[in-house]
Amino acid sequence: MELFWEVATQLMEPFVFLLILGGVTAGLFVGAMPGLTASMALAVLLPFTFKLPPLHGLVALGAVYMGAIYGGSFAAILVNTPGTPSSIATAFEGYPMAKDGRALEAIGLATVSSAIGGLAGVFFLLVLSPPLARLSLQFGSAEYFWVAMLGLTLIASLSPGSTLKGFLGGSIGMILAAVGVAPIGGENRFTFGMPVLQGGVEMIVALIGFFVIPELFNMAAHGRAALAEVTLESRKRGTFLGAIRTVFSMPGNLVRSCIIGEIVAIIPGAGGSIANLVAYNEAKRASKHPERFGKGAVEGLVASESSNNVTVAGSMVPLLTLGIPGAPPDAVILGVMLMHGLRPGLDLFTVSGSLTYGFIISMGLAALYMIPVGLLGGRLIYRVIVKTPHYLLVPSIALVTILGTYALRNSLSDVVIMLLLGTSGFLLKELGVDSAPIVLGLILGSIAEMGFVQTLLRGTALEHPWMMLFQNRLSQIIIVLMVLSFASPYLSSGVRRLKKPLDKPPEEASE
Amino acid sequence: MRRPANTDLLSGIFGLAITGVFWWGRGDVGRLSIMFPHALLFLLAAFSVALVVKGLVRPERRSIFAEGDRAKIIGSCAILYVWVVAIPYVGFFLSSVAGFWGMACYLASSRRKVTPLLAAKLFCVVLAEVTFFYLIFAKLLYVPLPTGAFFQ
Repeated sequence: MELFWEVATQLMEPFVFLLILGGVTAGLFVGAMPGLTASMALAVLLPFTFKLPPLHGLVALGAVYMGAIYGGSFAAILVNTPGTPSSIATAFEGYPMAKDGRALEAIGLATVSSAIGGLAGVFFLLVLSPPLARLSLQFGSAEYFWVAMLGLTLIASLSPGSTLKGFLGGSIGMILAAVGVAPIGGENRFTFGMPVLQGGVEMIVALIGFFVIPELFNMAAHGRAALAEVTLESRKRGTFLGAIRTVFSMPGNLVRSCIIGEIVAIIPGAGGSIANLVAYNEAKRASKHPERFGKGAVEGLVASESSNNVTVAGSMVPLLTLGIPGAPPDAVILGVMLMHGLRPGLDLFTVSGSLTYGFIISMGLAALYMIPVGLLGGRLIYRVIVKTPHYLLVPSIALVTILGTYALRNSLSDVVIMLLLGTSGFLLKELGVDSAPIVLGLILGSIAEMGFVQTLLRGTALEHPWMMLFQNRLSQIIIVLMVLSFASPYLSSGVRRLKKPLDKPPEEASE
Repeated sequence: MRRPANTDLLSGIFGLAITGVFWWGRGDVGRLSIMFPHALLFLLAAFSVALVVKGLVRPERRSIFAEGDRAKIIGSCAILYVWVVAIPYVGFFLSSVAGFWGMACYLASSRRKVTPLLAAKLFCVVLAEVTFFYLIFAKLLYVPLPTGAFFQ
C-alpha cells in the first residue's frame, strides 16, 4: 500500500503530466512521418532526458514510444504509407476507409484501439513481470549465456530477409560489444591503439548510429516522394463515442489481438512490426466476412492497432526481468536504465519498486493521453509534418543526433563513432543485413560473455569445463528453445516446399 | 537500370573483412579476456563463409542503392562528415550553421532552383534553429559544447 501511494504521488506531479503529454505528442510527430521508426524517435529524443531524474527520463521515453507506435497509424490511414512498421496492417484497412470518405472514423477507431492496446500491455507487464523476475533468480551464469544466445537466435530468425544475414548481423553486434575492457579478464581488447576505444563502444552511441543515420540517408535519397498531399475531408465525421462503441462491439477480436500482441512482444526482437500482421491475419481468419478485408474492414484496423500498442509495454517483460529487449526501441530504454545504474531483475521490482512501477503505470497514462492528443492535435500535427520540407527535416534530425551523441559523454569521438557505425549500418542494410540483430548483439554480447566465461571458470574442476554449459535442466530447456528457433525458418520453408506439389491441381502434378 | 548485386557474396565478404580486422586487432591478452571473442570470431567467420558459399551456389540478387537518388546519399553523407570533423576547429555553433545550411540547400536543389532569396530564407531558419538548440543544450542542460578556435 505504501508503494502504491509512493507511485501515485510521483505520477501526480504536474511536471510528470507535462512529460507524458509532451512525450506522446513528440512520439506522434515522429511516428506519423513515414520512414521514421519508434526506435529512431526514442534515439533522437533521448538526449533531452539526460539531465532528468531516472523516473522522469523513463516516463518521457515511455510516452514517446507509445505515441510513436500510435502515430504510425496516421500515415497508414491517410497516405497508405505506414508511419512505422507496426502499422503495416493498419494501411490495409485504414486507407480504403479514408478513400471511402471515412478517414476521421478510421483515425477515431485507431485511437481507441491503440489506447486499449496500450493499457492491455501495461496490464500484462504488471502481471507477468514480477513472477518472471523471481524466476530470473534461479538463473546462473550458464542460463544467462543461453538466454542471450536464445535472444540472438530469435531475432536473427525473425529479422527480415535471410536468416543467415540475421546471424551475421548479430555476430557483428557481439564482436562490437567485445571492444574495450574485458568484463572478466579486465584487459583491453580490440582498441587498435586508440585510447578512445578503451571504454568500449557506448551502447547508446551505437543505437543512435544504427537507428538514425540509415533513415537519415534514406530520407535524403527519397525526399518527400512518399508523402503525397492528402486531404482530411471526410464524408462521415465518426464520433469518439461511436468509435468506442464500435471497438467494444467486437470483444473477441480485441482480446485475441491483445493476447497475440503480448505473445509476440515477449519474443526478443519481434515487437509491433510482427504483432500487427499476425493479429490482422487472425482477425481475417476469424471474421464472418473475410471478403471485406482489404476494403475497409473495421475488424482488421482494430486488430492491427490494438496489437501493436500492446507491444509497447508488453515487450518490456523480458527487458525488465532479464535485460533482453523485447523490441528494438526497448534497447534505448535499456540504455537509459543502465545509464542511471538500474539493472534489470528482481531488484527493479523490490529495491527500485517505486521507480519501476511508476514507469509502468506512466505508460498506461500515456495510452490514455493518446486519446485527447490524437483526436484534438493529431490532424494538426499531421498537417505540420506534411508541410515541413524534407530539406529542413533531414538536417534538423542530423543536428539533434549530433548534439545528443555529444552530450552523452561530452565527447566528439562518440559522434565520429556514431557516424561510422551508422554509415556501416546503412551499407549493411542495403546488403540485406538489418540493424536490429546488430543492436541486439551489441546489448547481449556482454551478458553472453559474462555467462560464458564465468561458467567455464566454474567448470575448471571438470575434465571438460565447457560441459558446465549444458549441465542443468534450465539450460537444457533454453537450448532446446534455441535450437527450435534456429531451425524454424528452415523447417517452415521445407514444409512450404513439401506442400507446394500437393497444392497443385492433379493434372498439373501428374505432368 | 542498375544490375542486381549478389548481396550474399557481398555481405559474406564484408563479414570476413570484419573478422580479419578483429582477428589482427586481438592484441596480446590473457585467456580469460580473449576466449569469448575467439569463439565469436569463429562464429562470425563461419556465417561469413556460409554466405559466401550461398552467394556462389544460390545467390540472392537484389538491386542495391536502387531506390532514390544515390548522389543525394553520397552528398548528404559527405556534408555530415565535414560538419562533424569541423566541430573541433570552428566550434559547434559555426560548423552546425554551415553544415545545416549546406545540407538544406543541397537537398532543396533536387526539387527546385536554390535562388539567393531561398538560400537567404533557409539561412534565417537554420540560424534560428541552431541557436535554439544551442541555447537548450549549452545554457539549460549545461553541456559544454566545443567553442573552436574562433571563440577561445
